[in-house]
Amino acid sequence: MKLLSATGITKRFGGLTALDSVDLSLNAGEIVSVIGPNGAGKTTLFNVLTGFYSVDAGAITFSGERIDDLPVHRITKRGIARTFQNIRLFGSMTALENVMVGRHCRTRSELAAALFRTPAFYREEREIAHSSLEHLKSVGLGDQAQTPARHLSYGDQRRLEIARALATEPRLLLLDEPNAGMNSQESGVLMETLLRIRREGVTLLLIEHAMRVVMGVSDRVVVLEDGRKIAEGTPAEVQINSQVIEAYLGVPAGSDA
Amino acid sequence: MFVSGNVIFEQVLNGLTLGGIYALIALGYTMVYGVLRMINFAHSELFMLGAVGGWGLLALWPGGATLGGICVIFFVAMVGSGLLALFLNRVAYAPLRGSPRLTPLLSAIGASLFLQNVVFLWRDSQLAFPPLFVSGHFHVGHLDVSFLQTFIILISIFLMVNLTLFIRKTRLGKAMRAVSQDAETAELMGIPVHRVVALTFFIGGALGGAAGVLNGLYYGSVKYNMGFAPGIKAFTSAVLGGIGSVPGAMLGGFLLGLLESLGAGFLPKPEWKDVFAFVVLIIVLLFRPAGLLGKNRAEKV
Amino acid sequence: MPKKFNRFVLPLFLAMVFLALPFFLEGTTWGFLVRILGVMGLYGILALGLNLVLGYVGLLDLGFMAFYAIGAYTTAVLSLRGWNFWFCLPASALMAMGVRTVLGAPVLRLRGDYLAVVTLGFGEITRITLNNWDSLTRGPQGISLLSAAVPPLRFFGYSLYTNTHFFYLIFAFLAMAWLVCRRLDRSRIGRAWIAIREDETAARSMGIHVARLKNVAFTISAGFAGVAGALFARWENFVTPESFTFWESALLVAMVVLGGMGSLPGVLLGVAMIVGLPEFLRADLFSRWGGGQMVNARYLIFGALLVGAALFRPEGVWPRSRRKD
Repeated sequence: MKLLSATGITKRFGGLTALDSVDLSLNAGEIVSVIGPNGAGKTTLFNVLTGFYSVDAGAITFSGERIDDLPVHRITKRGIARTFQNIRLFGSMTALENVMVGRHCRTRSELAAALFRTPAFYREEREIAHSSLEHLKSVGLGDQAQTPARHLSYGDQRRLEIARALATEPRLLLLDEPNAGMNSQESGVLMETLLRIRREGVTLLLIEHAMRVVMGVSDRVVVLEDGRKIAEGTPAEVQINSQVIEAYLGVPAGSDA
Repeated sequence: MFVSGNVIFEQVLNGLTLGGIYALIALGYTMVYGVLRMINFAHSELFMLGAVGGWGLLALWPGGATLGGICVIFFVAMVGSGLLALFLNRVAYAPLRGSPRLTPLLSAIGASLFLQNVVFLWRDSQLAFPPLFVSGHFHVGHLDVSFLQTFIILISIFLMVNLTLFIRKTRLGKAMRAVSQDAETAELMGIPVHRVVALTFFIGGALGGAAGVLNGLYYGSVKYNMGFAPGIKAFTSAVLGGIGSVPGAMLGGFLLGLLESLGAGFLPKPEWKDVFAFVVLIIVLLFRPAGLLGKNRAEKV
Repeated sequence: MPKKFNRFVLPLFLAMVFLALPFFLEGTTWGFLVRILGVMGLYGILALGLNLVLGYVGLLDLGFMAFYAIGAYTTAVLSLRGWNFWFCLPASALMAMGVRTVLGAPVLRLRGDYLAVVTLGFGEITRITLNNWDSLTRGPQGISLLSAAVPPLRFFGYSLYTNTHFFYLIFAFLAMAWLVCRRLDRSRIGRAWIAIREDETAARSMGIHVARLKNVAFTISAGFAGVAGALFARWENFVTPESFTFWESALLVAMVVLGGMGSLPGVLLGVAMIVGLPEFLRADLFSRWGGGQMVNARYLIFGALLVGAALFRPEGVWPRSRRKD
């Protein structure tokens, strides 16, 4: 079943065409990686899919409904969550609070409930705290719940971003270089985490440079260069694609780029 | 309502005079903002100190300052305010790099109070600025033109032209632009960012000091709390033009001066002039959220 | 249990001592302290309101006094028309909130310092309008409520007019303001506000409707100012535009930043310091310890202290703590 289908996505910045009629479709339950050299338009693609940028042409459909004209927070509510390449946590809040913010769009207590502390308010607060802690534990940060996000190690910050994104209960999770800065042992844990998230019914779209991760978990790989999609296929197919090898000029496919 | 061309001309001239002064102060706000992304809320006190310092120096010419005397006064007021700006940066701002964004605002308010009250303890009253050698009027056709206003406008334009040349043509000016584009990269390129920041404070302070003297000449008096109102106006000018943009501050200053004096001339009550100016500001920002000449930075995600 | 003592008994005891103060002070040479404490209470309500916008959402508001002014004038004008204070009070709050919502809708899109200058501009517009709308506000002369036509402020049959009466009235409202802030702080809304302050982009991607939540904070904060304004108008029984200058707005920002943005006790400490210090340095207080020499230099000292506080406590004197719940 198609979860997301983007057709003819074009995004220009002034004279620069960052995305040039890119097509992308994701089936529910897939793990798909987007690879390509720096400046190929990978992050721009994420920003378009999550509503941070409006498209200049093309259409994006998410589980049967158009989302390309929705604001960011509505897209999150529909079920697309993301992490950021340059980690964007709420630095002074604790790890747990960061994840609790992620519950915002799945909870509803408004001002009056907060001011009068209705039973429903307490019930919901308990639910938020409980499920947030579960998400935190699921990425291995259970014992860091009370640590301010900015004091976490780099790897923990990346994991916290994933937990926070999962708290929004996405059906599609976009991860922008989740492996950046991780050592090979942490990479292994990350790959397990990704596969587990998929088992829980979440579709994953990754931007990743580490070929070990890309080849290890992806069902399909999409290759971007200069804003165009130059190849798409299984990891094995992409690895032997001559255009891809050329794009990575000199870097033998299969090694960690 | 019948409005003679003469009246309009007069209001335009008033507006340009006021605008020149606003623009000079606004440059100090905008340049510091450009390199540090911080509003120097104590900047208006540098303007006040330039004016009061100028008043103090005028005592050296009991019979009225000569042209040479005026030059000395400008020089001393500018260098004095410039050095004071350096001092302000050193004491109240530089130690706060990396602290929460609004903490410098607190030290600025403190510094502002401190500087005002230093002057207050010295002279707490309205101080009369003696009239200049450039008093009186000359005629262009049937229009009266004040020498003083012409002098103020010319001086402010002269300073702005020099500033522009400095920023565009010299090495230091280019370094300044580089820092305001991207301080981090500039630092990596070997630009001594700290010295550029200091230079920016110095130039901004010096222009503020010059504006103070001009303001004293124009209104004929100075006082320890005189920095406040023009400070707000100049800050508003800087934002109107696009904060961080040097030509923006110039444009904003003149525009605000014109809006204010035309407002004073043609609104039912002259007191509404400031309302008029602020309403225009708000409307401009609604349509151009980064000011008239400011660049709307795309959100980095 | 010492823990329970620290968290509950001690604050209760201190609060009771504090509330008993007017009984000891009134009628003595220290009676003026009741008034100063009352002023601190009013600024406390204002600063807690500003803190919602400045401390939580991180929006610099340099014209907050405009809403204090709107609250004060609403009560003054309605009182002249014979309104009972207990109707004036909500009217003031609603008026301030209404104006703020209408203003907020377009301007909250502006980023950082541009928003600051628009709020500054609105503060000035308000003050100048009050100064010149003679038919409604009597211009610079202000509105005096000390006439027979204005009914006294009554509370269950008692007339409230002394400083001590207002001390209790103001601190009752301050307590309510505190409670409101505390409950908002520990809620989904409060977390969303802080998230916006920390990283607006990330907050949006968490599904937070940033524009709406900013406007909510903006509007509620004006309610605080409106209530404080109403209390001020009936305490002084006199309002003039001069009480609502940009300088006051800037000092209010200084109180929040000095105390610690987003920290409720910090904000009140900031208020006590900024309202209290200049009074402390005045001639008539502590004169036997050399206060007399300080009267002229008190703002100089005050200014230097503010700079010092910024340098030595850049996060505020009582910063927001990481809470555990």
